[in-house]
Amino acid sequence: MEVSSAGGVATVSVPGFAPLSRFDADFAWELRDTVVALADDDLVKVVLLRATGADFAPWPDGPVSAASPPSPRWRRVFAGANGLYQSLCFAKKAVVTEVAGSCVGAGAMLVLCSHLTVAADDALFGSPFAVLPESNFVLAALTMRLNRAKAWAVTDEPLGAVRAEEAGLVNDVVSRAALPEAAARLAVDMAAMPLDGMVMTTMLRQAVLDAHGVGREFDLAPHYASGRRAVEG
Amino acid sequence: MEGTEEVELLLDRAENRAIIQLGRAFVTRRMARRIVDHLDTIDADDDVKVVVIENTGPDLSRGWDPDDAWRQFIEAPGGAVRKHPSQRARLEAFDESWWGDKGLYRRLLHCRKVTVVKAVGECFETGLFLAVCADLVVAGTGARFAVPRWHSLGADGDLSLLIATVGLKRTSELAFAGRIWDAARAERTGLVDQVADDVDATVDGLAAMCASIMRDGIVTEKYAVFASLATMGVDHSFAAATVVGASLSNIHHQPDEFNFLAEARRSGADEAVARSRSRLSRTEPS
Repeated sequence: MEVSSAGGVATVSVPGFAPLSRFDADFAWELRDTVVALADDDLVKVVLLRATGADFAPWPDGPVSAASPPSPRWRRVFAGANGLYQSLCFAKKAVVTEVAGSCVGAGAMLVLCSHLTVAADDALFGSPFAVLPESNFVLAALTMRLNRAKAWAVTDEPLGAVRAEEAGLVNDVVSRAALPEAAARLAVDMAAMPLDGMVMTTMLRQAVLDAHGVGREFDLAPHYASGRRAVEG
Repeated sequence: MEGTEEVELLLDRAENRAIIQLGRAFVTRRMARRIVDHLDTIDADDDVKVVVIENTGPDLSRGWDPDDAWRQFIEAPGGAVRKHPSQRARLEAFDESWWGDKGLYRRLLHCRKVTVVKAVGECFETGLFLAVCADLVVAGTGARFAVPRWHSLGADGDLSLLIATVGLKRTSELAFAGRIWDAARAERTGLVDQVADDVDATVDGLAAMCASIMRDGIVTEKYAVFASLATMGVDHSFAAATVVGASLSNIHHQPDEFNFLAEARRSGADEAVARSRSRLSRTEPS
């Protein structure tokens, strides 16, 4: 995990975010700690999450980690109030995701938890709901509207970049070649906001998320995990 | 700032409609109060079923009047006690004119008649929130929507209704990225219902259609909407907007950050507005 910082924008680069979909707790905790530390840094206003590989978050190879649901570690690292997704969702600074190629499972959750998303025209967004109990449907409904979020969750049909933009899941669609520059330019523009204004705006947004029950939906993750286990069992 | 602070109320009882006409594009507290007074009059008039809000000029709203934006804090109770307006004065100003019980946005949101906004030219700040709080919005093809102040300050208005209207990430475009939406994007996001070449004729037709609905039907539907708004926690969100807005009026700018008030003192209000807006154009999506 590499972090670079300039002009109020901190860029977190990893080869890809697929390890999160196999519940790699060490990777998740390192990402969580990195974002929390950057959000506490007065020199940082925007955190940009970037995958340097061909895909943002393809379906992972390799075995599922021992920290899979409903283990206590999964609960702490992925579903808990101080876990990765809530730390992103309720971060004091704005988070931007830069997405190319396949974006499934945890990748889609990172997109839902981030404030803005720039996507390459080849990006493909798979619904996280069937595979991750910590997925947050309230966030999806607030982002895409209820009807589209339901269709995404129920049909499991991946959304291409253009459809994702039409649905409100993505803010901008650009060519793959233009993606890094477009995402960086957006982050720089956002960093023109005063530091105090950035923090207060994220807090105002948090109040709306709280009022709509985003936190309570995260609290239900262990219940969803148990239910899935019973179905699979 | 050109134009008059007058806000005219035109009543056409035979057609069951009213028109509220803003006389200038930079909105003041006085204009907000006049709109609220007119909405009170309209709500009490059983002959009116639909009200159209429009501007007599080419823009619905270019934003807050920069001079009045600061005066609202000084002139609020406790605002002129010390050199800088007190926090209570800032809170009262936001509550009284904009988000509170007597504020413009809450009053428009709770109007018992069908409310239609004619969105033309710049629909900035107050213009955008008139669109969010109205029942129906018709935009001219040249309409543009944004809250320029947010990019220089932070989001000091309601986000809950905006998120309910356009979605979470699209709200972030306006709140964090200083985006200006053209009419087509505003329609795609759900901020406006219709984009029309002939906006006057389209609004006229829409108002006539709404005026054909029976009175009890309109008011019943409106109270159903009010119930939903309560469930959605809009009151909570408006109160949060007041608290955050008052706090953001008092923030500390870092040395490299654009400070509107300092710029206005240095170069005048017009130049400060121009500089503030020029920072936005860079963030318009290509």
